[in-house]
Amino acid sequence: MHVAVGGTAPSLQEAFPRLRQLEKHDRGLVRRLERRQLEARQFADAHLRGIALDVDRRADEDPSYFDWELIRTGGRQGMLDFLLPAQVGGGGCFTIECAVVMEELCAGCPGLALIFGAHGLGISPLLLDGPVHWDVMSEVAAAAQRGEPMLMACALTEPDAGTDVEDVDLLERARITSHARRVPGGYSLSGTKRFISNGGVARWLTVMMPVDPRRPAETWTCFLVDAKSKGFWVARNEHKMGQRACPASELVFDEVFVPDDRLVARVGDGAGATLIVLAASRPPVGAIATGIARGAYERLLGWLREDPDARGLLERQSVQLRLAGMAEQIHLSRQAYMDAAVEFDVAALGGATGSPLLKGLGLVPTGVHRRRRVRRLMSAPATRDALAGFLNRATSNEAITRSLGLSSLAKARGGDVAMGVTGAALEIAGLTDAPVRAELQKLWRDAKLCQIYEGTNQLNRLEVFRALVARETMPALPPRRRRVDNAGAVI
Amino acid sequence: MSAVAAAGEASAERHEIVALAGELGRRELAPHALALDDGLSDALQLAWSRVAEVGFDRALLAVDDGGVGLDAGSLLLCLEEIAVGDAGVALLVLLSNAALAALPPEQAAAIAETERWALVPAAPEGLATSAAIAARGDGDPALTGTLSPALGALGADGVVVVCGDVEPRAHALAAGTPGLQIDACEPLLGLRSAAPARISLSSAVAVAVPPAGGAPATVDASLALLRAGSAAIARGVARRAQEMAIEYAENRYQGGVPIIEHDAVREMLAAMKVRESATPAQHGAEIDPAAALTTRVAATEAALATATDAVQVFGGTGYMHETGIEKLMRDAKSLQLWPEPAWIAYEMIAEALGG
Repeated sequence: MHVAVGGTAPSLQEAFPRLRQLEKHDRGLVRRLERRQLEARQFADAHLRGIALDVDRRADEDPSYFDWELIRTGGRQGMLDFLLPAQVGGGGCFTIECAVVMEELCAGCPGLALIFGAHGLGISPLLLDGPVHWDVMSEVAAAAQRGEPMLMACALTEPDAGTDVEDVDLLERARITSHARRVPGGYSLSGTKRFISNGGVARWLTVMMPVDPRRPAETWTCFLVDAKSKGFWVARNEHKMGQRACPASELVFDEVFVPDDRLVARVGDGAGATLIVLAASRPPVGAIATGIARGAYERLLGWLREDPDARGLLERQSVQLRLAGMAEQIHLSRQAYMDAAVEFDVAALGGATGSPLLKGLGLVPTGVHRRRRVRRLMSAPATRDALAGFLNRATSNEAITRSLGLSSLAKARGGDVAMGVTGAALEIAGLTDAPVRAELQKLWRDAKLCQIYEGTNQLNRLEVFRALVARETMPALPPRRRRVDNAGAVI
Repeated sequence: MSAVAAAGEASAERHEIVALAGELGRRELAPHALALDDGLSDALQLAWSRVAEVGFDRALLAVDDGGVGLDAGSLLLCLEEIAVGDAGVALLVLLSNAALAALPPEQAAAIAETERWALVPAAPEGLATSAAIAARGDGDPALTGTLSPALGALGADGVVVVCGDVEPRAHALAAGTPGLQIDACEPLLGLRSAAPARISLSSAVAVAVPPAGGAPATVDASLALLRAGSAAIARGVARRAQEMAIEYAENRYQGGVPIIEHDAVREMLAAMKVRESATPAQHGAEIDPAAALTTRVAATEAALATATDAVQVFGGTGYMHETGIEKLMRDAKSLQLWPEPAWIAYEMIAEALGG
């Protein structure tokens, strides 16, 4: 049963007034979103809110602490497979649903929610590679549904390169120390990745490394790595300020062999793919931030209404003005992430995701994707080129750049709103001895990460400038044809 | 301008004591800031022994009463310097001085030099708190009620409770006094060395009470000292955050150049300098209560903005405990809430404007 704190959790149509209009055109989408919102809200109320503080404390004492039981429950309730394609037994959701789910989970506990979000981020690069990795995706979906989750993570950041691995221009001059060396039958990955959410608990990782460290942007490549591979280990888990329930790990790759058929897209497609993944992942980050802000607002309002110590505060105009400001900021942040999500799903990638070709592939029995010959065929250069051609026909660099601009806007705005609202809520509660203070303190710590991860807000705003003000076009789409020499270098 | 430089404008003696505070902050406290933040008792004991060695804990007491004989302005300059090392320890120094200043000199002098006491304001105006104090009795009044969270009270050898509406205004209660219970309560975000406590009073009789009508410090004067001290500590936090951010920005490379060359970073660093200039150290010999209130709001908001930007300059690294920069952000946010949240301070300032 849904229990709304302070009775303030909005219905879907209250949250997004434009959906009342959209419903006239696509009733199915609105109904799906309502169902997702309700499921996520019920999950957050039943499983996240109550343990949030306890898990945070445990992870403070031991940064490697991880609540597997919760993740098993989440897997059984569809929180780990909704982003996976329907063809592999997943929920077939896109950015819009992901964002709505993340707001709900984060209103419950941002740290625990991040586990599900980071899992989704790990999946994202695979979605751009058509059916090539459907065998792994179907395993991940089945494992989640059985309650034996196989988590995923995306490994991008390096010790000396954070924000600059998320920008093509900065990447070219970044201090990248990792290297994917061409070896017979595949690639040998060496280097260190840092601050990787879910990195220490994931079974599968999508890992970005350059094939030629002297030309990182040109040879930036994504690999699908099995965490059981020889040479891979978790060096440490970070002691974070907030969002502690989801461990951030330092990962070491010491000559980790990745076979050719676990290349995600082609050598050199990584930088463009990163832009597309960020265009998709930043609206949910805006939603994470919105959820954090809403969580603080709801808890504060609950305390103001119910705690005798807070009696009289709600009648003071100073408090009313601040609450109104919070509601205003939360609403605007929510509209920004929804605009960005719709832009990505419909305007940027709608042509690809709605393609009859992709839907037709779903008719092929799942087992076929596991066959060695089929896998070899799917990962052959000609098939990869065909997939790149398909993407180029389905969308354009202009559409993806505009989408990235709106996504970056939603992310940066959301991060600032989360910090502002949690800070203001904490200020109103002051030094009360009531339990709400601990909850607000945690949300304030959690909020700060939203201004940092997925590119700092400063980088995001520069991308807003490039995409929406200067109207530049960023090279996100892969070239239709790409070849590498025997050493793995892009020709 | 640093507190040491400000002190130099006043007198050589003042300059010397503030310089000592600077040494304490940078050499003795800063290297242990993370241990203090983690609440390690050895680190706190060591820090407090160094504080007491110089006499910063009783700096406001006259030399004849066993103190250092500093004026309030000099204490504020010292607090800023100590806060560069650790804001929580600086807060303990402030609370100790405020506690002793609230008592008649002979009673303050009677408190052993090895002991750490803390001032506890009872229910500052408009503050949402469960604090409630009632006093009964004609002679030595017995106190009943709860105060929480009382910063710096956990582990203190005694507390001086100052009340706005109970006569007499100041009550010194040694730890162990029958009817006095000091328990740990939910910690604050920051200022972890000054751990808060829940003080439960059940007919607790003060061991030292100023004679009727002869209290040297009113609640207003005590709060003014706390607010001015909070502002000074906030300046110390902001200075430390700014220094760390500049050092990091000079050494961290992005896109082939140190990040200090990126306008996005330069602007944040410049804003820190602007805020520092806009919230100068208050070092007059006397504390003006109205100025203390406004100064505290400005200084703590500036410190919070600077520390938050400093974490941003560090990026993901700054979000990690080991760098010590996120601690400054938590310290700054806690200062913004104490001794009253900023929004209540705004209401009080507005009320003083009339209308």
